Amino acid sequence: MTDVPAAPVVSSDPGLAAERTELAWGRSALALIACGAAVARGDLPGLRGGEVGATRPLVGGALLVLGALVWLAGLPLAKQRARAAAGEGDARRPARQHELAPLAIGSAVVGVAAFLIAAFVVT
Amino acid sequence: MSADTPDPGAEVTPVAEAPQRREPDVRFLYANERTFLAYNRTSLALVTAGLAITQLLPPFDFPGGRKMIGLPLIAMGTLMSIASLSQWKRNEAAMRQGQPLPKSVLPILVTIVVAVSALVALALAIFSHAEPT
Repeated sequence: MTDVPAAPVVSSDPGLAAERTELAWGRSALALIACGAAVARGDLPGLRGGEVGATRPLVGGALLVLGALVWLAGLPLAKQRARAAAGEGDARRPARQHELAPLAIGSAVVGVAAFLIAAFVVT
Repeated sequence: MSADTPDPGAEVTPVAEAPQRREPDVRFLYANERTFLAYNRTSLALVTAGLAITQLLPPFDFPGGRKMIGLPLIAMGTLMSIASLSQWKRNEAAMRQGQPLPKSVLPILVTIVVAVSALVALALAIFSHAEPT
């Protein structure tokens, strides 16, 4: 695979790469939404009632909003790329930072919430 | 983590032979983006695992045993999600400038944290008895 002589740079068909990336977006958005649901509704022993329990809808709601943002960032992007791969338009563009940021922020919010729960909520 | 990163037909690297700025092959940019996405899924998995360990596991008779396993995993996951975004940015900038990709400390870091947590878990499992319920 490495010694193809004088192979020209092929950049005209990123079809499968676009599809893999779209699938990766779907998995990632689902992972974040599942974690948001677990924080908001999960039956963790330390979180039944009490002051910490009262903050859960807040954190969970924020995570669901972030999950929706990830979904909204990923799907139009993937659709544009699929169209470009099919030869319509020139929307073969890389993602921009504001499209990736909701996922990173969402994961960090889950992480901080989980750290506080794990460190300070006694079960 | 890297199951979806390799690109078939990516044997020619146009960025490597062109020091001047130019648009890199979009497949490499997509691969960089998928790496970011994969890091974030890994991050969420680490956080979820750490939370389950501290909340759902019956306590060891060694005080703070569950936190010793779970908290490093959660901290690693949180750090990973933020670091992966800046890493995506650095990688894309390097590709656009025809520079070699910058080295990442994330793989070795996550290896060490997971390995140490696993060793602590092993030690606790061997030397500490779980309390009934």
